[in-house]
Amino acid sequence: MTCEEVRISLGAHALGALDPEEALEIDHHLATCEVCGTELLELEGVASFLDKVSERDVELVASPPRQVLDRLLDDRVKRTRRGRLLLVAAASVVALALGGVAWTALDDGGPRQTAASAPERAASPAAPSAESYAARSSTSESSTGESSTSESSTSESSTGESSDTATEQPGTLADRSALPTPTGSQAPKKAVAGPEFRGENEEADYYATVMAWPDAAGTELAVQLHGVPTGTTCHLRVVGAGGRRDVTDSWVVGDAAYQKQNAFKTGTGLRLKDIVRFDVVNERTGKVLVRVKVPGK
Amino acid sequence: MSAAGTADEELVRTLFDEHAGPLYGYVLRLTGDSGKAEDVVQETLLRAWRHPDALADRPIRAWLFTVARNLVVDQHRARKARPQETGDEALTILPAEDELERAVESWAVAEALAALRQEHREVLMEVYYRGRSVKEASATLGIPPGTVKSRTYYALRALKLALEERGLAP
Repeated sequence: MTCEEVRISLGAHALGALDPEEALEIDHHLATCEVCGTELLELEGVASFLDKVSERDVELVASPPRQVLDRLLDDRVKRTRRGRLLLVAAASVVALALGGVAWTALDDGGPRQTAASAPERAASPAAPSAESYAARSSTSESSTGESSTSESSTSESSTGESSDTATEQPGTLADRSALPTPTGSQAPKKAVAGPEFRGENEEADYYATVMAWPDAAGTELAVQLHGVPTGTTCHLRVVGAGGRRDVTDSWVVGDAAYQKQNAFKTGTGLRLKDIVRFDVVNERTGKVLVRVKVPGK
Repeated sequence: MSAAGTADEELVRTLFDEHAGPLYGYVLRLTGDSGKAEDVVQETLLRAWRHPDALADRPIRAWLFTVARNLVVDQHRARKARPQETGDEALTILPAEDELERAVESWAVAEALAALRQEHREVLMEVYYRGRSVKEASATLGIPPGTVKSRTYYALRALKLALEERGLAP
């Protein structure tokens, strides 16, 4: 046997996988060839690492649970956004009239007009972790200025729109879907009708409809669910092109406040044309309840 | 989304891509429960993301394993503090501090194996972990015995490199 022939078999030899005759031949060669002997030692050194792990270990490493990444990204988005909300709250102390009015209007009317969402939004600036977020935010002063400006202009525009919608439309999702193309004397600023997307989770028999229409800040959304158990706390994950994402405020399915309304209104900073899908996510488990794809994306 | 937001997201993704696999394997072995393991991995990576300064001067993998281990210990203590639950499950066996280094190493080995090309990993699985001879592996994989031999050789060579990249010199 030549060194070349021997060498190619040394891996299998190091793992004891050769049949006895061939193993013997190799050993004969090794008895007289120092170069091949050194190579075998080296391969045995590598092979000695193999017994530190099992086949299952390798599988586990190769397939970490992707939902953990989703949950992390959602969490990151939420923290960033709460930070921004805090800044708005701070700004409203300074510009009391403007900020205060905007907040009230945002909570009571407009896209997030249900009773269940209002306390949550009101509560978030006062959350226990508020200081740390505030501290985080204040380290980047330039972005502070930017976000509070853009956020308060958002509030203003929502205020204008929501006062229209609140007086005109306490009604159902179907009513609201007609909202962007108003009839009669009402002529809100919004003139563009938004598309409606549906998704289902066949296995669990969950259904979701997401209505979306562009607004100054991004996209306004209304979510309607069927089949999801009462009491489930959900949020909507909005996934944009290139994996960008946003997470909406959470809501509780079947909360009394929603019986009449039957749809959760919210919004995202992503633009409608950039959105590829929506995931209705169980807030507690992080699992996706229903996936709603935007066709053609 | 702001540029800072995107960079932040990148950091989360990078942390996940580089560490979630070994970390998940490690925590799952500690807890024996995939749900709990996911929670611990999430919390650990979240802390890493929030405290980049804590990671600056030390090997990140050991830091992550330590944080994860402590989270598991805390959970374990919390469960023990509630007597009604003690009968529910076997007590988790927790590794001593000095075993941490070994765990970091063996999960790096698993990671190195997982990073091999499919054909290399496959042949090592057959020949080493399933104890098959060259002939048997040839039948299972549907490739000639000569190819099993050469692939085993190149697989071990590739593994040597992958181990060295992770600071594990054979």
